[in-house]
Amino acid sequence: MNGKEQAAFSRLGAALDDAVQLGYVGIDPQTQNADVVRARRRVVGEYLFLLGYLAKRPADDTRDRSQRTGDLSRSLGHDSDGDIREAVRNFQRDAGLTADGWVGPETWDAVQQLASFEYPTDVTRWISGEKQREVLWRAVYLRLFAFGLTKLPPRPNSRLQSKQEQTAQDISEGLGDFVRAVAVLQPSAPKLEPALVRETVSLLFDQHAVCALVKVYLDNPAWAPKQKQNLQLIKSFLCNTARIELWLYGYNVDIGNFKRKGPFFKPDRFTQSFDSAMQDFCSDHGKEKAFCARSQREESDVLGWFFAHLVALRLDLPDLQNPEDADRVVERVLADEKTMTGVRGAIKSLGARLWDGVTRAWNWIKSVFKKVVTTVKRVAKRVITNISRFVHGAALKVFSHVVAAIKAVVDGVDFLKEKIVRGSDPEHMVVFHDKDWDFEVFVNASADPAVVDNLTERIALRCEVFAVGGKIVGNLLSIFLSTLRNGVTTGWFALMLAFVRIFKSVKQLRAFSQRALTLMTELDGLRAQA
Amino acid sequence: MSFQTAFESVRDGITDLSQLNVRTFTGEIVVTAAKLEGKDATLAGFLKEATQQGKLTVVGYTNMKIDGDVDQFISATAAESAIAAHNNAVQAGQASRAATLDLFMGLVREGIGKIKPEATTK
Repeated sequence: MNGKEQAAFSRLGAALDDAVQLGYVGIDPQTQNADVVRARRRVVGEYLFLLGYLAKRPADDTRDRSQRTGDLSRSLGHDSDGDIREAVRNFQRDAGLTADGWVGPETWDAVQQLASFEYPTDVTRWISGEKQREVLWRAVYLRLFAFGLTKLPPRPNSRLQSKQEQTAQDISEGLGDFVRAVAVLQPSAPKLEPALVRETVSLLFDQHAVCALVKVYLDNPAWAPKQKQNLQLIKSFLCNTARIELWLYGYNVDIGNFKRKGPFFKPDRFTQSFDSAMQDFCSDHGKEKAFCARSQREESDVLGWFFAHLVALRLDLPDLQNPEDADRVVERVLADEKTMTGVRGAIKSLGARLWDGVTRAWNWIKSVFKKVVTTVKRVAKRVITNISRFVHGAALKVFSHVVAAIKAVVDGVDFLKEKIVRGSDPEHMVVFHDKDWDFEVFVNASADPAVVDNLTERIALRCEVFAVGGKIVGNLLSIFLSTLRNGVTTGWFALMLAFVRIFKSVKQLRAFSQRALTLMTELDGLRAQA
Repeated sequence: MSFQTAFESVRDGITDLSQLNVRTFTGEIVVTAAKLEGKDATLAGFLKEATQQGKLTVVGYTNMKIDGDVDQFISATAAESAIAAHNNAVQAGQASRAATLDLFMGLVREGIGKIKPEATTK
């Protein structure tokens, strides 16, 4: 190895150490990285607003000086940090957590479960805990409001469970309407109980399941209700379910009509934004915008296509056939400064939804990458917007694999440095190797074959662990180098670019790291036997 | 251990990844435990003591070159477990050598020219 290569080795090691420390190769859920923490707290602000713990929603204005200076309270659209801390404390108190105002992993998990519409909700936890009832009521109220089944969203200073009889009644009626809508969507299924019971709440919180029910309903026109009241209910329910999906995908719609204090399906700006978002969705997914224009087509046709497409994206879409597409898209986006300005703005303005929509974005990206190469300018902003939402979830998922890989490589390097293989015993077998992997094996004539086999197998396993870990870390290093090459080394954008690359190989990474974990477990077993 | 330390440690030991050698011996091995620990744990030290106490016989020898040429000797009278140990060491050596090449050498070559060199002063 020449001097240039030796220097590169040191630089690569230092670069990877920096990358791990800064969180570019995976976000530690407990990271203290300022960008990550700020973005996470911003999301919490949005969720606390949705749940009614904050009076104002976080600002999305990227020109806000406070964002550049990192003033969290101002970037959340509040006059003082006290509002946010108090909101977090109230949420924690209601959720049965330690009310310290600090958003740690437990608070983050709880708020995600209750307000994200995406994160799986442990319904048993919230239903069974007496202390958690208030926060469950708020989350249920939010869902009902988003589905258009209550007129008002949860608001601050209202103890929903006990003090606001009217609100409690709204929730009760909303649950009744939800159960009625579900009965229309799946006429043959047993009727749900219109109360805070496990079955009803589980379905209310399972957006994927609701979409699947809607899809089946739309496939069966004969199920359409005869009663006018039910027909109106189901029409509103379908549109609001579609609205939630569009919101999760990053289109410019809101869940529920917070401004007008009424979620119902009426011809106003609220509805116009829905139409516009639906047309954009159609266009981005290979349909003419006119297909989704209400004047051109029956609403049920549009919704039928929309939900069928969502379900297909989720279930049937094959993996990206040509992974080079991702690189080509990113390269073309990077080459156009005007587009890049828009892209950066989109990422910053995405706010709370940056963290949502992981599954949706995942499938969506796969489909878009296939189509986007020739029309990159038109859809680049949306592509990157959705990628950025995907980043956080992907980072969290990949992180555990990265940790496994690093352990595997460290074990492999330890192995490489050993002159005598650990476990060697002159009574049975002694194994030497150098750093070029040349082996000298000494088997005692009176050795126990079982002990020899055990050590032999352990050596093979350690080599395999090293090989597997090496592939993962090699992959990550390559991604990191690519990011450096693009000249962007800080912030979300770098992370996003890195994870576009990881996206291409994440399945492989998972397979490798799972193999590494299995091997290490086997190795521990063999060591214990020995 | 940081990656930098690990990389440098590996870098310092790699001299020749172009061929792989595995030798397997059998015999009455009598060595003190100290020969397997600390500074005394060297192949030369081990061999010296082992051969003083008894006779070691080569039961397996494999030399693999990067161009695919393989020289191999396996004793017809060797115990099954000794042959298995030899073959396993060959496979382990191959896998680890390939991983080392993949991980370190490939990255070094990719890294050179893609990372901007550090500023130098004249």
